[in-house]
Amino acid sequence: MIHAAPNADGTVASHQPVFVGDVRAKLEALFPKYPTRQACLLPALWMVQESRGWISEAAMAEVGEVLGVTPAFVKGVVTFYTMYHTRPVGRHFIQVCTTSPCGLCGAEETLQAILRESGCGEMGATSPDGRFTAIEVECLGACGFATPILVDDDFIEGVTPERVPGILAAYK
Amino acid sequence: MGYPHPSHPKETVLLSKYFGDPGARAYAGWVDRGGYEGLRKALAMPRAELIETVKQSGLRGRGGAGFPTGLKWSFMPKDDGKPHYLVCNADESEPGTFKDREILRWTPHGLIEGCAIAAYAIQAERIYVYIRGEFTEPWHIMTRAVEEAYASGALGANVFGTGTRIDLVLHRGAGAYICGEETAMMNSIEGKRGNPRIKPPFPAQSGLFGMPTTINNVETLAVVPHIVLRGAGWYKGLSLSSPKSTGTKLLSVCGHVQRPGNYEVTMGTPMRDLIFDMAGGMRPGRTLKAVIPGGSSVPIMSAAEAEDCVLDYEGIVARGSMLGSGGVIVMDDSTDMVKTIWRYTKFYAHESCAQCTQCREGTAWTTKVLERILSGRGKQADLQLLLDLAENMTGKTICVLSDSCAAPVVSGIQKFREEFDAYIAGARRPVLAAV
Repeated sequence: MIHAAPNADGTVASHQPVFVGDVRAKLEALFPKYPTRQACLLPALWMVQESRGWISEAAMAEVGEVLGVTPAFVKGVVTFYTMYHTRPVGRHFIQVCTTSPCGLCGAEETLQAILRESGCGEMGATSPDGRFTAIEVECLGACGFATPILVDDDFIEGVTPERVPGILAAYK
Repeated sequence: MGYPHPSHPKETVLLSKYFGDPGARAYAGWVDRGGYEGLRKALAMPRAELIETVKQSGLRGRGGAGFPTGLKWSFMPKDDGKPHYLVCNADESEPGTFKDREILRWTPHGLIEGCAIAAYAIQAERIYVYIRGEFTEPWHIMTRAVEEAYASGALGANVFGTGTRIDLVLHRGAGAYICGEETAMMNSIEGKRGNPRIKPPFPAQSGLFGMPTTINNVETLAVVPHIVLRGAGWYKGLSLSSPKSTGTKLLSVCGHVQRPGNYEVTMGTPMRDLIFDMAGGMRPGRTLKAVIPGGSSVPIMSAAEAEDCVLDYEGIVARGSMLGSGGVIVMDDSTDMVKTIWRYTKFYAHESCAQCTQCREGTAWTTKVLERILSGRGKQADLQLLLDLAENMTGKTICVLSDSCAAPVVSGIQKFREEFDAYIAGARRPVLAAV
């Protein structure tokens, strides 16, 4: 039995378990690769996010139960890493690098263009149509190809304000 | 080669030879290009001889610290009956650095081969390759390559029929610069928050899961097959300067140059050649102002220091900075140094794991003081305050993230003080809103 705590947005949604069927099998296939169950925590959280789009408190509790750690421990880990979403995000998640090397080459203007064209308006916000959430992130490790952005899993280099409308149009 | 540009005559192309060549990504293509010969040769060598070869080559860690690789391997206990681990650090996230990404994307089997050789040398049956979460394409390419390596007998219970077991597990990060620090990475693989650990114990005694562990950078491991095949003497001969800096180095050049990219040079190459010849120099009408030669964690060099610098571990130290990870950030005369330094400190404030007070508070307050200066409300005493903070952030914490935040602040105030003074005196228009 999983008791759900309220989510970051205040809701308490009924939780359908993530680790059943194929997802459960995928997780269990990882067990022999690590000497402890706990070591499967980051991969398990990725599976939750792939399956649900974000990681709710109830999902954290489920992960804890499956791997034998407390929900509080899981939450400590989830909130340490910036790529895990603790609230629902838009259908497409945009990450824009603005760290210094990209900052030298126009990343701020690219970020502003993305916030404007996506309809997100401000960092961390979701566009009113639910299509995009955009955030500024630290170094994406492609400094020679400013400005790199990630749209979902698509890594796009050399993004300039002029290119933004065309890039976003591909994501419905 | 200067990927994504053609090779420059001043480069020495070794690791980057197949960047941009999709044929090199597949197992068969890699074997056609001479791949896995190094692993076959290594598996037939006594372990002590293999470690000695790497020691003699002079190879030093390419992740930033420059520690001698063979020496690091030799710290691993021998025949102690415990599981040993090799961790490959593919968490490349030092601002200015983007070389490991190209190794992962273009020559995944070269990296797997290097990992397997290292694992054999240190008696590790399992390798964890920790790839940062944002590297989606490298992750998929490495996943495919690992599957192929298992299918071809280059990994698994009986590598190339020698009876040696080597398993390789890809582990995906989830967004945390600090996980590039080796003990933080071990915690992250164990399923914990990525907080660095106090040393000692050092990883060779008690590392991942409490077992003897060696952690090496992608570039370090990728060069190992070349050293095994061609010998320590050959590698050691690749140096134009100090015998303490051998081999080639991939340098990621970014910022205000005409051809940003990855250039591979023999140690000891003049920095001038890298910036002005290979990377194409400044944009028309611009002049060089400053260079950060080794990723954002090292001190800023003035143009004069950079133009007169030899690219190797000792040469850059002699000019007041460090080779670090080889991320060369070039800034021309249009650069606002105060704003640029603020953006670095903001990075470190965001990425501090927050377990040490000096770092948690120091990175945040340094950033806030710089914001005050940039918003036109700075005081002359702020510069001394920044230097005091920097002193308290250097050498006082579990890892060096805090020191890394202090480095550009101290060197920036030393070398570009007039720009700070101009903001404080109101001679420069504020670029940030008052907070």
